[in-house]
Amino acid sequence: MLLALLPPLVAQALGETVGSFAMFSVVERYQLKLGVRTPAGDRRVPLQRLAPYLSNDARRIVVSAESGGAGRDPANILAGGLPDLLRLACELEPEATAARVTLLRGPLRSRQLSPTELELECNRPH
Amino acid sequence: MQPAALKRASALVDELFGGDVTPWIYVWLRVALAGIVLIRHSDWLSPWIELEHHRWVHGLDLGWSATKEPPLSSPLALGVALNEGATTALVWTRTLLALLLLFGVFPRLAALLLGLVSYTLMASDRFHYYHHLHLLYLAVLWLSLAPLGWRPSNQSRPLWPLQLLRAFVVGVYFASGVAKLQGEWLSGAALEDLHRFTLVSGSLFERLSHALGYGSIAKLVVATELGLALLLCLPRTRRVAVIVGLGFHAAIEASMDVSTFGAQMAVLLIAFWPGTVESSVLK
Repeated sequence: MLLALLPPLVAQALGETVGSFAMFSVVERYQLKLGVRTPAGDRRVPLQRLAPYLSNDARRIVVSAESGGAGRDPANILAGGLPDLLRLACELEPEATAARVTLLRGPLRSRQLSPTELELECNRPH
Repeated sequence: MQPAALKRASALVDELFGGDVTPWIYVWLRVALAGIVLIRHSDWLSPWIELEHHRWVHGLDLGWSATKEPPLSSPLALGVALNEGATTALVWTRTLLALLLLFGVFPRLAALLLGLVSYTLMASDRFHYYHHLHLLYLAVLWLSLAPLGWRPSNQSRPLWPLQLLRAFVVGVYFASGVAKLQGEWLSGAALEDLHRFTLVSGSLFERLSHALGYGSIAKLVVATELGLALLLCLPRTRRVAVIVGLGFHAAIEASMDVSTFGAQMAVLLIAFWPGTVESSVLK
């Protein structure tokens, strides 16, 4: 009985989206920026560039995040997938020495969004 | 534990899980949940009816949809990344299992495998996660414990699998209500934001928000969710709660795009309708 009742509450207590059933209880705004470092300098990678390499569901969240999206669940899911997006950026940009992603998120009404930045060195086989 | 306490605990378990239930409820849950899996994971109904998921599901859902190499690999759980061949095989397996469940062929095994295959597909890509799919797969897994096989139609079935499924539904309402017990929701700010971004809309919501204000609607939603969690547990109020719950989900459907969530909850609410029967053969 407890196995049927408790998992959503445990997920909420752990701050997890998956399994929390915390539908629409908090609304956030988020925006995603992706870039690469190359020998010629830093360059922005439009998220639309990733679209053919993504599943339908990933496309809906990732590509639209360029201009900004709303919802805590997609923001959490996106936050969990940032290292994977960096790896993909490294694979797609052969001249990149590193990839950098910035996830900006915060309350819908807030003008200032808090950034989470992640960078990955692109290790190329020699 | 003292013998008296042990007896009380044993009596409570007997009261909760003992007894039988009318057989139609398991047929209803089997057919309805399998039907929703098939409808939600395909665009087969698109020529006749426009459903929200038809905007992004083309063919079979969660199938391989990256069009270029290398595809993004971002599994929800470690080691569940799938390649194109495995994804396609699992998507067709899921469809076959849902059909077996729908028609009652090895139904318990079909439900168990359907839940596991569906979770594998969802876990293979973190962006596949939706609360309503998680709800659907869990319901199917709980259903796999139920006596779904063929028996003479007037023979009653054990209650305990239904009670577990009911507890799961109560847990969803309770968790959803508890998550909203915070200032941003209770003040109505979250609801106002949802409205501003047109995530909530429709004439019913417009009327309610003008009449009551965002804060009152937000509190009403929490009260309904927590109230349903309580009233669905009590035999005396169970059927009233089913009707209130159906109305609640109809109102949500009229105001938000929640895919098949409303239909799923309606199916699961019906699980609270039948009463317990004592005899093994229904009169």
